Amino acid sequence: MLEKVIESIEKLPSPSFVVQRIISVCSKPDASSEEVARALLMDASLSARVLRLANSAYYGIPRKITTLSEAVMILGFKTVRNIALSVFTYDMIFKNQESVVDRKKLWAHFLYTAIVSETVAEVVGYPLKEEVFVAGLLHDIGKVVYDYVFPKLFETMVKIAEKGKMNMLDVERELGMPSHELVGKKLLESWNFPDLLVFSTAHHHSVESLSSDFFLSQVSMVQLGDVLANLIARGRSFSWGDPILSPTAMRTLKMKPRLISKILERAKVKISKAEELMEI
Amino acid sequence: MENVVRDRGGSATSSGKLLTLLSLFVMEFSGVREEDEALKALTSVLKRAVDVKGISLLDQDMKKVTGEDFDVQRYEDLMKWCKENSVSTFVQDGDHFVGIVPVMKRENLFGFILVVLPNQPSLEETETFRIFSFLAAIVLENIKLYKSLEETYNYVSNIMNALPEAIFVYGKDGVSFRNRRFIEANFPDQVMRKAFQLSEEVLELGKARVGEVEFEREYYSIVSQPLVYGERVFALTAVANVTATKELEKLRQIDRMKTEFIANISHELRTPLAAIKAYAETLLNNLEELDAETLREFVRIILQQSDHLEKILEELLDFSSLERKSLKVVKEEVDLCSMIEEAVDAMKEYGASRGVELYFEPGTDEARVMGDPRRLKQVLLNLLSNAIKYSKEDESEKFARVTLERNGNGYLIAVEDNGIGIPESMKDKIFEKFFRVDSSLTYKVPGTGLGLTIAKEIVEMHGGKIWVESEEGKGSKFFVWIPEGHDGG
Ligand SMILES: [Fe+2]
Ligand SMILES: [Fe+2]
Repeated sequence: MLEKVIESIEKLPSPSFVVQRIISVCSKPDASSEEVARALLMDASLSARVLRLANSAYYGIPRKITTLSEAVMILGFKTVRNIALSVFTYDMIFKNQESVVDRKKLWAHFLYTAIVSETVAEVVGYPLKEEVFVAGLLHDIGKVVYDYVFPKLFETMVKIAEKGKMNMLDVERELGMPSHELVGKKLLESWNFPDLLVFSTAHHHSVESLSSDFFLSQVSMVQLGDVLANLIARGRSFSWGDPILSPTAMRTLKMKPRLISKILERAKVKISKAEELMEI
Repeated sequence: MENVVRDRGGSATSSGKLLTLLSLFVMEFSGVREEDEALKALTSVLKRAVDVKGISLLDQDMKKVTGEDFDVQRYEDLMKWCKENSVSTFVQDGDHFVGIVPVMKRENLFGFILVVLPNQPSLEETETFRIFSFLAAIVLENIKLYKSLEETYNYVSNIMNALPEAIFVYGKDGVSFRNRRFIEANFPDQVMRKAFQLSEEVLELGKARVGEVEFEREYYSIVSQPLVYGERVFALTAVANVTATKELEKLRQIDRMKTEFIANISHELRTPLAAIKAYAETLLNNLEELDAETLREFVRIILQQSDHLEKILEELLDFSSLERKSLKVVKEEVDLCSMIEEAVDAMKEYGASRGVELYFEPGTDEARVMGDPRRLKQVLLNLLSNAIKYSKEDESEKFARVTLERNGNGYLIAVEDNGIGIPESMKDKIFEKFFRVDSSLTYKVPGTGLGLTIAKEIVEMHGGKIWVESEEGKGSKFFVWIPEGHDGG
């Protein structure tokens, strides 16, 4: 089964040259905002969408941003990269002609998890919060792979999960399918995406089995972000079981109930401003 | 995807440069104790890391602390936005670029850094601003935390120092806190030893302990109680000089004793007076019928009782001059041997009447001192009279033995008896005013209770010492040491 999935990965839409270029430029120390703007401009539609989102209520910039270079300076390299990646992920979800599931729900879960994970980073005081945002955004990308490779089967899985009040992971296990953690991991590896994204996707339900401690904190943030995103909007992830807080993640982040309610409170405010990000 | 740089942390700052900057940061911040110092150290690091044209430091309220002047109003909207989103930002302004970097950790804003850059900031530069302002915020938060801790500590210390009690906290590693009162009190070592001993006991037993120490006529009370702090146990010990309270207690006791004394003395005066009166009346009413022998006996009794009365009055008189500090000694050469012999002879009859035998066993032939012979004899008479008075009724061979020996640069006289003795607790008190070992209200033994007080005063006026060794029920031994050639006083 896994082989079949891996084979099919090559047929899935992969990041365009422009998206790849943006990711690459945004990891280059000497990159200038001008350089990022130039890379973006190679895709007119992407440029327009990035500029529109940069001016959205979610970011709430008090000034009107008119150029991409300005957007990079004001919002930061990583944030603009995240917008571009969000557009790409959104497109990937919705480009699928065979899909029969409610993909708006899935996108909402992706976006919410990105926002909540980033909020966790803020609250625990982790400075590179933008990286945690992408990690949250892509954590369930394995589900998109299933939607492409077995659209019908995936629909059935979604129904089983809803009827049986089960988590998608348990449905996969019962059907003897590789987990969406593993499938997502294979996809991101094939795209040669940064390790953090690969690890957080591969272990967002299994922080305790993470082999490297280097990403333990960041993956824990995504784990908590996923659970809280499910709590904020039940079933958007097609998972209906009880949200499970990972003791390893809680311990790693030194989480306390007071902090969790603070994260929820803040994330809800951010989500309420994210209307424009729902349809990009 | 060959273009994607796979860096582990996702940070864009190359590690070599980052290490150098971190080292600079550590160096600049290692001596920092104040908030503005920390902010200045931050600007110093940033200036070296990034090519800046100008840099300015603002406080939480966007007021300039140091650096170049900026038209802050132009950026106020962005500064607010940076603060709300905990992010830094850069904008083009004419031909240069302005960076706004909030120095904050979580919600805590410590200030802003405004920088003017000649060129568009690179990714590395923006990350540098972000990371170092973040690090600075952590330092600032710690400074703030430390200050608030210090404030709390000072607040509590002030309360502790304002306490009228002298206290200290004692733990396994010794004293961990002393309040001002305690430091100022500077208690004597003897007192502190007891205080530490009690504190140790508190640590061991986990129960409160109290104690009292007397040192050089001062009284100290010590109260120590357990203080549980987390998993550790300390002893909170209060030491107080309670001499004043003790003095007050003593005065009250003296007051009580004075009342008893008056009752006692009245009784003492009435006995001989009643006898004199009764015999005088009998004489007056029956002068014709009484034979010469009876008359002589009656008059002898009247004389004897008058002597007794005179003695009491003399004691009272001595005591009152002692009270007025006008007791006088007139010094001349005194031969102690003959003085003692005289005293023993004088008391022999009284001793015989009580069945007490008196001895004098001189241990030296020559014993001459400078002193008042009348007063010294008075001391000896008093000691002998006590030895007789406090003899044991059921003892078959009652005695009072006087010895004399050379001792140091003086002579030691001892008066030993096998009488009722003095309880340990009373030994010091018998020399105090009005004190009698038995309750003075029982009148079992006659006496004013002033004898030993006067004796002590006389001996001390000779530069000597008086003390007692005694075992209750076995007898007493009073010692009087008189220096050979005391001059002055
Ligand atoms: Fe998942
Ligand atoms: Fe999820």
